[in-house]
Amino acid sequence: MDQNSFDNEPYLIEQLRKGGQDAFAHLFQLYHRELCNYMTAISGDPKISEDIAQQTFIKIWDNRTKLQVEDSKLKRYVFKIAYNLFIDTQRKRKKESQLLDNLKQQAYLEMVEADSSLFEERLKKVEREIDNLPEQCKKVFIMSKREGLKYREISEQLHISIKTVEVHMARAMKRLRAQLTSFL
Amino acid sequence: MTKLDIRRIITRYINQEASQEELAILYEWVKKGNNKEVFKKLVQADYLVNYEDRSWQSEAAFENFLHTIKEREDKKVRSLNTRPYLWKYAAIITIMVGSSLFFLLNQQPPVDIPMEIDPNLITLQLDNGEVLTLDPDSDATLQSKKGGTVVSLVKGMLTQREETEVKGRAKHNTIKVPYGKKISVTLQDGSTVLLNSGSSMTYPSSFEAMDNREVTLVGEAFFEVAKNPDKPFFVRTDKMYTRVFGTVFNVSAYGEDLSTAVVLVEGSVGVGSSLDAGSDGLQMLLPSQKASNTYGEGGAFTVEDVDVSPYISWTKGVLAFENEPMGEIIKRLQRQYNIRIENRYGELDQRRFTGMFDEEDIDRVLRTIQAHTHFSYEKQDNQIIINKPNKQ
Repeated sequence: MDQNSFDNEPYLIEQLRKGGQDAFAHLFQLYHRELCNYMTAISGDPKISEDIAQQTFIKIWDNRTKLQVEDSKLKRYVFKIAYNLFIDTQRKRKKESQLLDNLKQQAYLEMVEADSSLFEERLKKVEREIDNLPEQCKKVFIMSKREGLKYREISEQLHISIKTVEVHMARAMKRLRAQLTSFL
Repeated sequence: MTKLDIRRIITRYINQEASQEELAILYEWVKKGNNKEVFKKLVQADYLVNYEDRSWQSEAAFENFLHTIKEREDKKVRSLNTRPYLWKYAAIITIMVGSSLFFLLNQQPPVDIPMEIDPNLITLQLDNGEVLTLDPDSDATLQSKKGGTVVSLVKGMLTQREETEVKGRAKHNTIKVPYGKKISVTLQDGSTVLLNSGSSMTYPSSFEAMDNREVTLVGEAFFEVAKNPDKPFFVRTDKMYTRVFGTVFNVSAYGEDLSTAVVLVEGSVGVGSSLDAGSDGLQMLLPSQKASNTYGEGGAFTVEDVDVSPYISWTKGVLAFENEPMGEIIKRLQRQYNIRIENRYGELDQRRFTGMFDEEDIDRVLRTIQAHTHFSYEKQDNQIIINKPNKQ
């Protein structure tokens, strides 16, 4: 590999430290999309995640001269900053939340750092499990999670009660979790 | 606690819906056995379920990023460019929260030095009780009504001459400087004393008939003492004696201030709590050292190395604070600008500031401090009232 390519992480980090615009452009290209996906999965709000992604890059810029990243940990560094920014927006952290939030972060970072083909494979498995859900349950789940509809909207469209929507969602989540935790 | 319950709580936690109680339950649960791994797996499963690869406006976000950092860099460059200007008028200001010790000490309400007669004039009370008034901004030569005391004031420098020598008894004079003024006094032995605003000094017309040269000071003064090994020079303040061996130094002993301090610029001085202690009881100072004692702490002095410039900058008309609590700064502003300042925002007293101001009006000083900490103030005639900032 060319030593002076942004694909070479130590070189990229060196250029980031110098505040090179191209280096930051490359960093955006590398992680912006995934960071937004990541934050949306965590926060459930695409607007918040875009905002946090932006703050993350600015924070990296602000601290660029002090940038110290272990070998091949740049992604971890970026995603950690984002997670911490997200946690900061949450309520004040008590010792309970601190432990739990740290564990949660570890869990997320393991996912983020997983090989992308492995991650793709896991996502496919999720899709398969969703596909295997009972018909009505699946319909409700996709409307909620994939189409982002509110429970009220789902209940109106499917002519079922909100309570029934809740039951379907709980059943879907329970099944998916049970299946997913077995292979994680 | 069933498995189902804990899973429900975890879901609620991940969705940021868990109550404090549920958090506490989860916290206890997760610490046990292999539960950390179970917890992480559930988090990860949830993450996978919620994960969706979307398209994002990455290019627009990058443009936005470039715009933001450019704005920041511009701001930085701007403040660098204005640094010399800032230095002249405001210089560096740093903020620290004051120590609790200071807070306790500052519970006492500030005391004003009462100034009799025209509050804007310097008064010189002669040994016979006669009071002469002087305006430090205009030159004058005055003669006492009785006796032959001639006082002349040239360019803010006061000298005094006795026409008739009275043997055996020293004549004592007291000079009082109001707020907002300063005056330099040349003593009979050639020593000069620059008195700061709100200070007074009692000194003899002549040291001839005395074994020692002794002056009494309330407030702050900058001394340049003429050498005379045969007649030691003493500065007496309420809590401290300073014995001088020919030297340049600053004494600060305002009645309303919490501590008395002597800062030595050149030469050598010794400080002690009483004259009787003799040379042995004196704490000797080296140049660039400060001896101070705080009221209510007995006669012990603290000696420390200091940068003398903030302590003597007032002699050049520069107001300098070195990590000084706002409560003390307010007292100094009152003296310097001859204005009453009432602080109704108690917490402000503990904030500490470092800064330098060069012959400016008080509005500028207050506005500069305001730029670093929030408070509001209003000015009415000769009074400033500092208030808690208005919630916006």
